[in-house]
Amino acid sequence: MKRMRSKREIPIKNTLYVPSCKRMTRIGARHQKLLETRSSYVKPSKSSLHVDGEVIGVEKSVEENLLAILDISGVKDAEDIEDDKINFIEALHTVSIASIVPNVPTMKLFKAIIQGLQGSQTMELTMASYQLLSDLNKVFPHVSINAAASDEGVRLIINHKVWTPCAPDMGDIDGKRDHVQSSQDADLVSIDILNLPSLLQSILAYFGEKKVNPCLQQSNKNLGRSLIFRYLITLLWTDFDCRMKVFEACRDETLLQNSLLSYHLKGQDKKTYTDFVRNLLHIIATTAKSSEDQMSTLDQNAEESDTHGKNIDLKAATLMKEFVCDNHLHFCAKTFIFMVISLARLRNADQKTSGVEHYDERLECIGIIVDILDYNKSMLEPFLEAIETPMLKMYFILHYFVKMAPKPIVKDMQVNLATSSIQEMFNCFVDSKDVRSICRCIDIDVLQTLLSHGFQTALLMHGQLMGVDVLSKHCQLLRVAFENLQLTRNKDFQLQTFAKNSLIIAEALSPFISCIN
Amino acid sequence: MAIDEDEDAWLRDSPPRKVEQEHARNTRRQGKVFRLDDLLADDVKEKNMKLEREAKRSKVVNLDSSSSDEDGDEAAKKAQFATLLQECENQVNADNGTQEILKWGELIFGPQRKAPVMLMHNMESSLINRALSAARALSSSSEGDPLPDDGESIALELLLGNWLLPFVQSCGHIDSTLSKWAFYKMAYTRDKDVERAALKFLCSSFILQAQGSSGPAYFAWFPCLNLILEAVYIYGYADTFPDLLLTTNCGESDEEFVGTLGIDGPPRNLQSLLQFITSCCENRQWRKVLTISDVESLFFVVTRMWLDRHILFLSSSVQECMEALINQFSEDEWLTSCERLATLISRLSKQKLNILRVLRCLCGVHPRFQSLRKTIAIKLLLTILNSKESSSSVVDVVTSFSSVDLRRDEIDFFDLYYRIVLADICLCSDRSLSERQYLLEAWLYFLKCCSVRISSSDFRPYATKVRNRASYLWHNYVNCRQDQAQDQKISESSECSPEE
Repeated sequence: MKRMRSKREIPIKNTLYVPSCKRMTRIGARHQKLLETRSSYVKPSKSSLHVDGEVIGVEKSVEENLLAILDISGVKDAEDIEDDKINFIEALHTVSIASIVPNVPTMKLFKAIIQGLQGSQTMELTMASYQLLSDLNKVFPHVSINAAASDEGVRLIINHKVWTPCAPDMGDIDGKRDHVQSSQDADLVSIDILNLPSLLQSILAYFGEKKVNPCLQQSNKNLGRSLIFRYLITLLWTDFDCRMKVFEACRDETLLQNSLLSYHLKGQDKKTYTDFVRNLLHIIATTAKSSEDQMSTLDQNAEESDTHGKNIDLKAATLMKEFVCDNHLHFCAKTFIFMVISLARLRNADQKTSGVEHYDERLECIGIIVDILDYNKSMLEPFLEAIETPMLKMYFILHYFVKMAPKPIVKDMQVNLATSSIQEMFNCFVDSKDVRSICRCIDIDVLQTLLSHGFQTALLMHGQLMGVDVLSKHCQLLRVAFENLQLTRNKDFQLQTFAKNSLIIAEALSPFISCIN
Repeated sequence: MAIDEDEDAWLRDSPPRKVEQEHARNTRRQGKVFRLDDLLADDVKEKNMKLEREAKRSKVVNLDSSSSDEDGDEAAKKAQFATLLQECENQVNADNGTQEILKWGELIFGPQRKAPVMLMHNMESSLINRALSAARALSSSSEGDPLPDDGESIALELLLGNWLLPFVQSCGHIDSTLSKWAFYKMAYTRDKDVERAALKFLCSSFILQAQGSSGPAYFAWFPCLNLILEAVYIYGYADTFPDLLLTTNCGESDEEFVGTLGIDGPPRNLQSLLQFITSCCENRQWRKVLTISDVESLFFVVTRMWLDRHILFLSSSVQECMEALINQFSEDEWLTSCERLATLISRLSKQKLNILRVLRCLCGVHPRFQSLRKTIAIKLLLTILNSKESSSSVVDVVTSFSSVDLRRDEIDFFDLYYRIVLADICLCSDRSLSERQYLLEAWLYFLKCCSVRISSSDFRPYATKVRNRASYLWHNYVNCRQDQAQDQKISESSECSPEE
């Protein structure tokens, strides 16, 4: 589609306006051609574990035709521009995903979507752009696994033709690193995996400013930023998830080293990175509370001014949108923390099996998290609640305990942390002397949290790993541990709600266990 | 004296007085800067004089005519002028396209209704009873702790601490009362933490049920359609199809539904409900509880949510839910369900823009969305063409455009735009179009006409949109034709080669 630039260019009657159009070759031949011409992408060295993916890119003439929808010359007003952008999203969906033979959008098309998402004035466009990006990630992942080939084992498939804004091997034709950034709008944050900390910073800065000056347009913009953040985290996750699965099968360290997550971690300096992790932990710990505060202020406003019904609707909509925004951020924070702990656990396990010390200091994320949580003790409980995978949660609890507890007591656990069980931690609380020395190092409330969360995690793992005997042993050990804690502190001891619940569950499970026996 | 003589001589040599005066006037004129205002003032003066002269002349001519006639003429002229002005204004307005163009959108969620309350102490849950007795035993052993009063508070505490799932998992069974209670908490609580915890518990328990083999048989509890529709209804779902929700049985809490809360728009629990439906769909056992028409109703209700602008930011949840629901049909079921859903959705709104919006949103990753879109588009085109045939062919679609005359002044461009979009949905995935060359040519000819005969400066509403859409499509279908030509060439050459 080409728009006329001026009235003079309008063709005379009977003379057909024929836009230039390149001939489309047949799909098979086209694919071959694309393989040859798009060699500008820098491909990483081939490994037996990598397979190059085979996807077909959008044809150049189709790309031009699609981008012409966004051409704004001769358009009457801003509303039409937004309309055109939505049409572009729809057309691109039809061409790439809904077509009989799916075609991967080119880099230019990807950039156009992301720019649309960043500069969007309307919620409709914001959501449509994000939806298309996430659909494209589902249909054309940059990295995937070949599940079908059973004889060759699990392999990683890397689709070099799928452009992602963060892959280290993706660049412009001259090979430079490419950032999607428009010089026209200073508000636009560069879309790059390395810029995740600054992107999060700008989102959080909005939440800080908002209380002073709430604005619908700004909240819209912030939703857009949150969605971009979520998109980038999803890209990291897709890549990491595939690599983790293949790694578990073949234990090749290079797979993890080449992951986007490692690339991201390597690009950070320690201070920025610590701030980033701290922000994420704050999101996990505080989003629920802040939203509740907002809701209560809304209710107050509603009581104060009944006459401005519409205004309240608008506010309610804004608040609800922020609630959704919170949910996105919460999801992102959880996913990111999950990834870094998984990475640390995998590397730790690998280090033990291979016996080679090649641990990268920069990737020592758990240490950073433990430090932050040690400083902000109130964040420990929401953080542990947020880790959903029992195995990882267990790993973190043990890690935290081993790092904080007196070294002679946890000497055995320290050696093989990845394979230790909660029972070993419980055993440290059997002797009252040990308990006393542990209490000197670790806060009593933190100990309660660690013990009860450890018990909960053990129960969740029970279905897969533990038998009834082990379960009854756990219940018994938990009770003993709390009795010893109580004895050590005597009158100072105050049982937390969460810890009380763990004792209730242990109590409730006991007759059940005796019944089975 | 000599000086005096000299002065006299100078006086004598000076130009005569008249000449001197003229010279002074000239220099004064040259010195004055003529401004635009002066020119304008001169011009006005001249015009006024002219008018006065003409007036004098006309007075002389009309000297005989009476003064009353003059007044009447003036009034008639004024009236004529006013009507002319009005006409011009109307015309200008029409040309500039300042008519208000409607936007898509419909209020799907009106005022919220009062939510039912479901408390644990009114019900019998063996698991909670056991926890309650354990708590009592514990508090009796340790002095000072208050006795837990009822099942509700202990259940809430366990839910908030995520203890329910490990408890259920260790016991090896889940009772339906507990699940139902968690569902009510998720759907109606105002407390965000309780809502999140309940959703997490329900979704994880579905995963447990799906795994099945890891422990003793878990009692499968799944929400029936009524329970979900009831929740949507309480959120304020404005229903235009009462027959769909006729089955909604409010049961015990019927009386509490009377009256509304006065809060417009759905509560944020809607997002949890959508996520809950999505995770239900992932468990195959849920399909045993639902009939095909139940899934269809649910799909329809979720589809309508696309029209409410207030919940635009929930798009990704709505999309995920629809993807999960469309996956619920088996291949055989889909053949009939697709038709039924298409009929329902095509009547979803009287506003064409709303229909376009829904069609735009029905584009997930699943290929079934394409077939559904196509079926809806065909149904809508059939109603436009007033065709009584149940199945429309590509020929009907294409030939319907041959009667469109773009040169007519009163052409409705929005209607044309709507038809082009529908036709494109029908044709883009239709293989029979490429098999019949003449149809493709006819379609291309129509698109060309649109892009050529509508000027880019046509200010009538939707004129440029038609033009742009047509030229975009023209380009796409030309590619399609070239593909086809290429295919033919290759097939011809492959036929020839064995003979050689």
